[in-house]
Amino acid sequence: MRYQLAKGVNLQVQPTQKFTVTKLLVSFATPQTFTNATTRNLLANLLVSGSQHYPSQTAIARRLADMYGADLNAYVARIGTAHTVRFSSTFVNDRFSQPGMLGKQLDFMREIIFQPRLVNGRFDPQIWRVQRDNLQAAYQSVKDDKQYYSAQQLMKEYYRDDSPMQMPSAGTSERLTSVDNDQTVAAYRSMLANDQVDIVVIGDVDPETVVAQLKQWPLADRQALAINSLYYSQPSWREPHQKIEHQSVMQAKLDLAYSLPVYYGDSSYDAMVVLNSLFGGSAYSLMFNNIREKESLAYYAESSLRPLSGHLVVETGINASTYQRVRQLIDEQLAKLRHGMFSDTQFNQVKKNLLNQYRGSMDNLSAVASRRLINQVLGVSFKEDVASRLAKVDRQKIMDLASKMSLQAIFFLNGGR
Amino acid sequence: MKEKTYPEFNQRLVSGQLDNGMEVVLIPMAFQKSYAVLTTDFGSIDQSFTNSDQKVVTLPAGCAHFLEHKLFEKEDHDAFDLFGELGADSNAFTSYTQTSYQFSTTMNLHRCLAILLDFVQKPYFSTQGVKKEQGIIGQEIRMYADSPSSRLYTGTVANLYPNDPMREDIAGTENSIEKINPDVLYSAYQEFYRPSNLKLVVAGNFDPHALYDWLVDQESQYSTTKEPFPKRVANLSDPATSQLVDHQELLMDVQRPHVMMALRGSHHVADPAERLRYRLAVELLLEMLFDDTTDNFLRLYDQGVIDDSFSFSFEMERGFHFATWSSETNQPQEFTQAIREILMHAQENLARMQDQFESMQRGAVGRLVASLNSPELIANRYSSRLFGDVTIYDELKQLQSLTLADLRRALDQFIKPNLTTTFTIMPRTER
Repeated sequence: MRYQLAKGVNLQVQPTQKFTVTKLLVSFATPQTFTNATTRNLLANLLVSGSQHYPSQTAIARRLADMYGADLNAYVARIGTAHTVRFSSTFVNDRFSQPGMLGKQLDFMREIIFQPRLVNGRFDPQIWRVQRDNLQAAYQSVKDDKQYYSAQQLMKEYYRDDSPMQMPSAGTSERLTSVDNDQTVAAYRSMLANDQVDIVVIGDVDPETVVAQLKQWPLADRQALAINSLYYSQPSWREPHQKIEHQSVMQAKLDLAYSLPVYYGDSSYDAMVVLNSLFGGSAYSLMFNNIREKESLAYYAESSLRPLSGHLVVETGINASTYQRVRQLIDEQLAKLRHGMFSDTQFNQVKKNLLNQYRGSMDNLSAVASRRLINQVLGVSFKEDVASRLAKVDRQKIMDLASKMSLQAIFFLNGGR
Repeated sequence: MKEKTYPEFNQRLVSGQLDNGMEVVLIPMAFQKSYAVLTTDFGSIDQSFTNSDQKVVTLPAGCAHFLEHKLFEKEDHDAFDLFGELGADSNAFTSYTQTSYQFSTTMNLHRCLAILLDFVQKPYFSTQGVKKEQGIIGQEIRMYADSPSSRLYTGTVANLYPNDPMREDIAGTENSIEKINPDVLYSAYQEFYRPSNLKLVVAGNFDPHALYDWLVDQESQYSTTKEPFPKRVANLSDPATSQLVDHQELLMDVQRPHVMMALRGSHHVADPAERLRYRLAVELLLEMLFDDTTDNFLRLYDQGVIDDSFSFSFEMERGFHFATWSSETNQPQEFTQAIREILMHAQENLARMQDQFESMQRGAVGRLVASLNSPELIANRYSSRLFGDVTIYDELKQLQSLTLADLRRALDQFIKPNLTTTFTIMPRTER
């Protein structure tokens, strides 16, 4: 059930007794810029570290424990070009706890979002400083995760220098050094006043009760996001952008980005999903079978889609000395897709597997909630069920799409101690 | 076969032991998905056993994990593909004491189960297959070798159990897996993959009685007689324990120090139900002392000794249990000192925490109730035989009946000050 609480403030409620818990997801969305991602990440951390009535994160944690181990967190994520600050809460249904849990959780969420711990118009300076330092430390730690770090470096090579997509949705260490308390407050005020708000509630709830309580939240009319602007595209690079970095690691990482101008919700979207599963997105893929199983060059060699920004990413962990061989094998697998050199068995396996994953994800409350949120923000709805959509994907579509893929960026973390 | 019901969760389950000794637990749920996990009590620490000729056989480190990778591969096909053709996802994992093979599916449950039982009970190992796997697992080992959090954990466990196979990584080393060949795998298989050492748990969308009958029939084609349990030489050579490695340091390409402190438990509980109660009591008392609701947490957080990377855990498997505390921090010494002090004063503090206890217990119960939405979690949580025939629903009942006195008793049993160790990873400074 869908409601509009104010202009630019959308709600959907799905009552169900399937789960022992209920989930609330509140998203504030605005176009991402070079500067706002970092500030908003800090903001998300601050809001769950203290509020007017719960002055510390310990006070918040105690309240949550008392509400039968409820969970509340805030984080940032991107939906296409939109930057979202999300508040997520999961709590046990009344029949396993006590009456009135929904009301209590909505009140608590309201407190966290709308009653921050401000002192003289600024965030409590002590909390602000600790959270700024912790975020800085978290940025540093990213470099310890070589797979994640390499994927980030690849994105720097892929995106155009003038595109805000260069900036990770979590922000960067460099930006954080120039963020101050006043800017954080300004980002907060702007988020409340200007961001598109999307709320998803799934669980053992009565929609009317949810609507009645959310109508009390101080959310005025605001401008909705222009849906078409959320999809990102850029002109192709003539030659792939390459970067090689040396670190003293045991395992080298070779990552590649290919442009693939198909988007979530497009008529070719399902074919793109199947293509990815065949290429490297599943353990039935050409890359898994040939790079890992046949040639034992890698433990992981996989691909994944970026269906809101028109590209596909390949990640591998290999011995540095096998760089050329792995590059060649990846090229060969792509050529096989282009020429339809994959078996019917493989093709059907991948489709069945995707269907199984989709059906299985209906049992996962978090997955259901975030899919609903993304569809709501993007205004996407599929008319047919997944099984018939997958059935319509034929071999020719895979070949056509594979022919459109073009290598755009390469990042190689060279190691091999 | 017996049926149990848990009216408060509107839940029933069917369990039993087949003629050949295999344990079966079936948990019906109103979900799309079904999940099955077949577990042998054979993990990386089971490196020595007495074979049928009364000879002691010693396996290379990483053997259980290697066998797990190889069991999927057959002479003319890969079991993984059979699941794929039915639309199921399959996987496997190896821990210190168990190896589990699992699949999840929203269709063809019986056919998937037939494949699971078949590929686990019909081994095929070839020289060529072993050779190929050495490269893949070699890359897996290297990937973890570059991960500070993995090095921190395995280094700490090695400190806790310096004279036992636990000092070695579950996957072994590139050298140790070189020693693996089909004969080694077959000998390990014959000892540890007998039905008497297997347990099957299925959670999901099915009629449990009909499925049980089907399983009895299906399994009868493999074996109907009960063979003896495997004869491991010992779980741990040094159960009473005396020699821990006090501290170790490693230099890595990290941005700031990573530190882990650990405490090795030495309290032995023979009865499975009592063992579960002990585990739950220790877990809850650790939460009361260290989780983000505590004054301890807030104080250390505000002092910058810990941040959001702080975590603690308690692990209990066959033959061992220990707790760990870890954080990234620029004050590793202050970190371990602070944990030690909190443990030292734990008993007197717990005595004053009746109110907090009730809140923490409620929170723990709520989180466990929340986890009832995952067939994977429900099945995996008791996939081994360590706690007898309990399920997550029994765990909930036990958790609800715990008292503060139980926690205080468990504290005395668990915490021995001389059984701690620390491991730090320091940034490698450029020269």
